[in-house]
Amino acid sequence: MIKMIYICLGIIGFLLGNGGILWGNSPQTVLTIGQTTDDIRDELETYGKLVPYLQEQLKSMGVSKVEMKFAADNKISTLARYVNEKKLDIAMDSYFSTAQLMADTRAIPIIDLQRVKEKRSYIFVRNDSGVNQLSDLNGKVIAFEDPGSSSAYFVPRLALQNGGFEMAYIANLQTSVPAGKIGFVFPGSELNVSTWVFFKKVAAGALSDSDWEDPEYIPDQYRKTMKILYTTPPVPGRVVVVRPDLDPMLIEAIKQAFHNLDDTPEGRVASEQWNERKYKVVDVTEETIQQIQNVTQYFGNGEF
Amino acid sequence: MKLWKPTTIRSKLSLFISLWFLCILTITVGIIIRFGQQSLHRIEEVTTSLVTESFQQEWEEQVSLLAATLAKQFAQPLYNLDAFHMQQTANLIAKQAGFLYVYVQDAQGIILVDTMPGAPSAGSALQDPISLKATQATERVIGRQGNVVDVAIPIFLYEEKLGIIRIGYDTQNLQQTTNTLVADVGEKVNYIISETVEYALMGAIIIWILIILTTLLLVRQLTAPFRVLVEGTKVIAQGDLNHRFPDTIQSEVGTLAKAFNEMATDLQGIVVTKEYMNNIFTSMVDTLVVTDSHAMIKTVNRAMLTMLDYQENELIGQPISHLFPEEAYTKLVLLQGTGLEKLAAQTAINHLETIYRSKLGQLIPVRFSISPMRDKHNQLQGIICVAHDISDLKQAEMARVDAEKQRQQLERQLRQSQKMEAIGTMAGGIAHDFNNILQYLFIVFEYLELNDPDGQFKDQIAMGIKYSNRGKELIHQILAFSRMSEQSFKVISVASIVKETLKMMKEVLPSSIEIKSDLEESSRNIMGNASQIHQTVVNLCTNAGHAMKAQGGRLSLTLKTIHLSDTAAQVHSLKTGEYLKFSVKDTGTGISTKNLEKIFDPFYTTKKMGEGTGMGLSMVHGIVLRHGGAIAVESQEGKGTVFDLFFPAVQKQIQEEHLAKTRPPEGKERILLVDDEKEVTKIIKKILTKKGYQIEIANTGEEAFAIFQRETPNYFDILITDQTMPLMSGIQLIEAIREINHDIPVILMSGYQEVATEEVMNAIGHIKSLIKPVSTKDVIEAIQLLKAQG
Repeated sequence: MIKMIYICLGIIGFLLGNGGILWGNSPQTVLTIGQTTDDIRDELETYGKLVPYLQEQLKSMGVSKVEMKFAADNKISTLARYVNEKKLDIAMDSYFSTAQLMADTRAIPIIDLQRVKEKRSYIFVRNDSGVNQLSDLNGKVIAFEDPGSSSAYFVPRLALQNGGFEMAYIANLQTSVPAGKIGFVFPGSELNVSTWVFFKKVAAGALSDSDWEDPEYIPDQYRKTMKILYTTPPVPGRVVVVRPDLDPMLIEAIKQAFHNLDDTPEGRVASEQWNERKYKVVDVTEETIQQIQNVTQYFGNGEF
Repeated sequence: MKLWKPTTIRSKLSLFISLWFLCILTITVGIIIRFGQQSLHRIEEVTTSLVTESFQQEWEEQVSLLAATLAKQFAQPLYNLDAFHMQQTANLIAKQAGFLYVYVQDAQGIILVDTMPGAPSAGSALQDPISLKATQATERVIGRQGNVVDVAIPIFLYEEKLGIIRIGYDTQNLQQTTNTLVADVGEKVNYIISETVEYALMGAIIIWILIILTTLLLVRQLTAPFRVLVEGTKVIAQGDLNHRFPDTIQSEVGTLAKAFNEMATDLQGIVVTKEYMNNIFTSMVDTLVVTDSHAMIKTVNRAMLTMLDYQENELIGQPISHLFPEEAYTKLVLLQGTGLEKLAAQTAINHLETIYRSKLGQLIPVRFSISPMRDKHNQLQGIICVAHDISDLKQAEMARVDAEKQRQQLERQLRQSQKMEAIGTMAGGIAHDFNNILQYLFIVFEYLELNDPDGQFKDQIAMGIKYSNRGKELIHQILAFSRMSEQSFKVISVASIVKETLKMMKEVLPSSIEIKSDLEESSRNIMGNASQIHQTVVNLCTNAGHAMKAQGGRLSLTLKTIHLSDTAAQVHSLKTGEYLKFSVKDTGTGISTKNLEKIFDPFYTTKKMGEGTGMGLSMVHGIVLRHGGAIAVESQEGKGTVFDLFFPAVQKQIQEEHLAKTRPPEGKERILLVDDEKEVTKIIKKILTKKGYQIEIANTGEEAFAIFQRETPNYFDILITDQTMPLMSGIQLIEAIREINHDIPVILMSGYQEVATEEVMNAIGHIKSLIKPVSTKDVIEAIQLLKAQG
């Protein structure tokens, strides 16, 4: 009899400790925010002041803590898995990542972080490469930074494809490029892109205009031996998406918190490290969604 | 204010010594301080040098190690051209303190990674010597410019050189660390030096105080005799002539005190005769004893007490005989025929040599005089005995006697030596003439033997040859004695020769003689002539056998290596060193003392006619001397004789001789035979011609040389020549002929070997010497030997 009483008390205690079971869904107290990355240290700096800011902004919505969670393998698929498994509530990534994320998770875009200053990408070659126009790249290899980069992969690739060139991923540089196509590889970093071009490992490379000017990515001696072959259209900014099953009230609060980054002194301090005043916070419009979907159209499921 | 001024010797001396030591101490402390400062500076220099060197070497190794590690890590990224990865790693290193730059260059030297802000060098090639050298090198290259250590290490992937990594490290911060360390060390050393100086100063002050105190005491001590002198002089000056300064005062003051004492004594002596006399009595060099009329000692002087080691009270009252040993006193009394007191009563005795006996029994020779002491009535009051120690005189006399004995001994030895030399010279001359006579006889008998095929005169010829051989043996013995037969010396083993000889002697000696030998197996070799040593052993054993012939006995031979010390060597007129002592002892009749002096004389013998030539021991004597040795003999009539022979030992080993054994009896060589004895050459020619040789003869050196010149240089196969010829000697002929034919073999015959010594033979070369008289067999053997030598 006493044993039965202990068992009943234990069951009651367990149910009380996990209140949701007894009283249905309660307000989410912990939120996670993140993106794809190949350099977590860099992202920790980016989110260092944003996370406590959001935590403060969302306190009124019962959020007690905001945590960071990154797809450290730089893959959208990993990020999508986190969203589907409800391990990631807010993602802040490029148009191209967002397009794939929306396709895989039905994530909802809520904020368009538009660039204040226009950003373009360059396709560049060595002066002595013999490549003078894009068509000369047929049968040759171009180096993109990595599969998650907007300016150093998506935009220049999109531009080449829009120009009617067919692209083929080359896993190994020893492999020959299929006839009539431009092969592409991922050296993994901006510096490697310029290095490979300089040392003639590849025929061309693609980097953003700001990276082109940065001697850390293209040392001056390298740049002197290179020329810009093609300049892409502007590179779009970033998009903030949320998990589709998130409380609409909470989604609204999140939107407001991002708007406050521009509108309040606290927000400007919080985003100082994050965007260096390069982004303008605006709501996502139908046009924005259309642009994102256009990207999906070009890149399909994100496979190379 | 009145300054203190030193007035006494004491104060002046004290002040002088104190100031002197103060100066020394001040200089010493100054030197310590100066030395300390120099040491500090030097320590800082050495420490800086050592620490800097050590740190820089350490950091060179550390940087090299880091570069080597990175070279391993960067191999794959460099192969993949993963500049980003390498840049990240290089940046991390370059951020560390002291690191100036990290470069990664490809195999052509083009920079991929440059940690300098903005990577200014990336894409270009460095042209500095280290880069140029490193691009070519397969090992690390280390350079140093000022404080910068520059290390370049090649990057290999498997066997392929992909590029180099180069790291620059600034050791400036090490210099700061070094300076800090050196400053710490300097501070500590300075502290130690300061403490040392403090202690030195304190010590100097304490030492100076001690010196002042010691000086005061010392000066007080030193000046004390002066004070005594001053006080004493005052007393004497006041008329107290009995006052004397103590004789314990040393140094010049003591001398002065003594002078004062002597002066006071002189003054006193003028008025006090008794004491003056006592002083004379006491100060006498000779001993003085005064007795009463019954010869009982009343007074002795100091010289007497000193000489005999007595105290005064031990002699006073003793009879005078107490001073003499019993025999000496008895002799003294007997000599004079009466007692001393009676004797003295009659007359004085002057300078009689006798002996005193000291308290400890030591006997002291003295020259003794006595004289009576009488009163005014001429009655004997006592005896005065004066003696003078003549020990030194006696010793000098004994030394002189010993020297005289030694001189006489040397004279005897010289006379003996001269006698032996004269006999030797005479014997040598006679032997030489005999040789020529014997040579002729030998050849004649050989010729007769050759021409007597029926053996009609066989016995007579054999007898002639036998006696010729005996004559030859005798001549050899004479020559051996006279040292004119200088046979070749070489390293030989006396032990082996004695053993061989003993085998023969056992056959020869009668069985009634027991032979015992004790030959040291490890005995040393000597430089000598085996035949002569053999002859020596035979002669000694034969003599011993003769001495024991009648009653038998024991013959003992011993051989051992000994060391002759200075004294032992002098006895035998030898030098100090190692010798082989060979002793032959018999228990025979012995030799009388009278005969012992003559036994080494030639032709001296005690044997019956026909039993000995009298040359045996003289030959032994000659042989031993020629070997640089010595011979000693001890004998006792009826008991036996021992001969001890000493030969200088040598360290050298025996060299084996390989002589041609095959000597064919005949030949066909063409020979030029030269001898001034015409008959000899004729007969030799006949004999050798019969043996198949082609002989041409000449009787002078000039004739032989003319014959040789007449023919072609190689016409003659051998030259046989006598040495002693008028005008041109054999050696001169050989030298002349060798001018024409350098290699012609030569046989040199000589009556004795004085000119044909081993050195001469070696100088001539390809030569064989024969000592006359020689047989044709000897000649043929010599020809064959030379022929065999080529």
